Amino acid sequence: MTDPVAQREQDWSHSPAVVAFAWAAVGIPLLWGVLNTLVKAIALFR
Amino acid sequence: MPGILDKERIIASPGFNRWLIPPCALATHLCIGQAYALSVFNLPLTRQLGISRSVSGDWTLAELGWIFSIAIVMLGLSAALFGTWVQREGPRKSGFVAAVCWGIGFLVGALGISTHQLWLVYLGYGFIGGIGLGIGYITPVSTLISWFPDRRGMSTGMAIMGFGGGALIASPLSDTLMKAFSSPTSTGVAQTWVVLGIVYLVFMLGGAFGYRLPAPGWRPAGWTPRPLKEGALITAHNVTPQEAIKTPQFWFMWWVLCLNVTAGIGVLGQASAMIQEMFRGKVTPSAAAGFVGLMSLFNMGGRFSWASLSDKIGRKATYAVFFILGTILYFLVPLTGTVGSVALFVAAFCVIISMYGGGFSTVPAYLADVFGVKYVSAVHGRLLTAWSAAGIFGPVLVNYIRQWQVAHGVPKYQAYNVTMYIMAGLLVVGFFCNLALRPVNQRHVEAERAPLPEGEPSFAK
Repeated sequence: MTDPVAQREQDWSHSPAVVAFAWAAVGIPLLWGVLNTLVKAIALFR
Repeated sequence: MPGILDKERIIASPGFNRWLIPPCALATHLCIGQAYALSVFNLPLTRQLGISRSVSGDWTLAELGWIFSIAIVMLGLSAALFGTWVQREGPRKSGFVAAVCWGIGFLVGALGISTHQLWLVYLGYGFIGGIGLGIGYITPVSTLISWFPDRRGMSTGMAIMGFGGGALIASPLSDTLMKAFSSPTSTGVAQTWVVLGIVYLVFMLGGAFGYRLPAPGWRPAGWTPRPLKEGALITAHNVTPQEAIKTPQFWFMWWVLCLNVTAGIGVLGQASAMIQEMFRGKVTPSAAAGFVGLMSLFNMGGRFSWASLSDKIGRKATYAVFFILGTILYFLVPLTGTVGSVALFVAAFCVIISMYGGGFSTVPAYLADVFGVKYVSAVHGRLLTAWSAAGIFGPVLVNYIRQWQVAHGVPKYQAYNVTMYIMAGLLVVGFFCNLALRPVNQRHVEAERAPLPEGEPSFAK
C-alpha cells in the first residue's frame, strides 16, 4: 500500500470518530423514521 | 496501481474496525428500501395535470402500479445477472454503480414526471433504478459475512433490516418534501424526486467508499472456527453459482424463500383493507394506517432479530420456526375475526410479518452455510428471483381469492378465511422443502488447493 491516497483512506477509516459518525449518519434518520411510524401506530390503540 | 474503485484498493490494513462496515451496508439498504414507500406518490401522480384533482389525460393508478412492478422485476433480474460481477469486482465498485443507477433513476423519473411522459418514469425509476436496487441489495452481503464469520446472521440481518427501514424514512420524508414543493401549479412530486435522487446518491456513495475487505486469512480477535461435523449443513468448501443452481439444495432454498415471502407479501399489501373489513366498525381508516405502520416496524425488527437468533439456533431451525409458527398463526387469524379480537389479530400479523422479514435476512447466511462464503453474493443474486416470483404469486392469491369469495356471496369479513388457510398450506410445503435440505454433494464443490478459512474473501478474478 504505497499509494498516498490509499494510505490516507486507510488512516481515516481506522479512526473511532469515523465509526461513530458513520453510525450516527444511518442511525439518526432511521430513528426519526421509527418514531414517525410509532406515532402513526398509536392510532391503532386509541 | 489499482483504481479507486478496485477491490485490491480496499483491503483493510491491520487494526481496521469491522464495525464500520455495517453502517456502510445500512447506507446502501436504507436508500434502496425507499422502494417500499413508492405508494406515497401514487395519488399525487394521478393529478399531475389537474393538480387538485385528476383530469382527462392524467395517469391512472393501474398505469402507475407498473413503476413498482418493473423495479421489482429488475431487482430480481439484475441481482441474478450481475451477482457474479458484484462478487468479482468487490463492494466499492458495485456500491458505486448501484448508487449511480438509483440516483439517476430518480432524476430520469423526475424528468418524466415534469414532462408527463410515463415511459420515462418506467425507464428511470423502474428500469435504471431497478438495476440499482438489485446490485445494491446484494452488494454488502459477502463483505459482511467475510467480516463477521462469527455472526453471519446478525451482520446480514443488520443490512437487510435497512431495506425494511428505508420505507420508514422515505415515507415521512417524501410527505414533507411534497408539502414544501407543492404549489397551485405543481404537486411537488418531480422536485421531491430530484431531491431524493441527489440525497440517495450522496448517501450510497458514502457507503460505497466506506467498504473494506478483510485481508486474506483475517479472523476476528479471539475467534476460531468451530470444527465442522461430518454430514453437517455448514461447509468450509465453496460451490460456484453455475454449479449451485444445478443442486437440489438451491431449488429447495428457492422454494423456502418463495413460499415464506408469498405468505407475507400478499397480506402486507392488503393489511389496511383486511383489518377494516374483518373488524367493520371497530377499526377506523387511521387506525388501519397505524396497523400498517406497526407491521413495517415488525418487518424491520424481524429482519435483525430472527437473523441474529439464527446464529444461535441454526438457519434450518430458524426457518422451521417460521413455517410451524406461521402455519399455526395463519390458521388462528380467521378465529380472531370470529371472536372479534383486534388485539389478537394485530399480534398474529405482527409475528407473521416479522418472520416474513426474517426470511429475507436469514437467507444469505443460510446460503453461506450451504454453498460456502466465496460466491455467496452471486448465489444470493440468483436466489432473489424467488422474491420476484413471490411478488406476483402473493398479491394475486390474496386479491383473486378474496374477489372470488365476495362474488360467490361470502360476507366481506369472512372473505379472507380461505386465503389464510391457503397461506398456511403454502407454509407447510415450505416446511418440508426446508426439512429436505441436506449438505451439498461433494461433486458440486469447487476444486481448491485448500479449503478457504472462514472469513476469507475471494480475490480470484
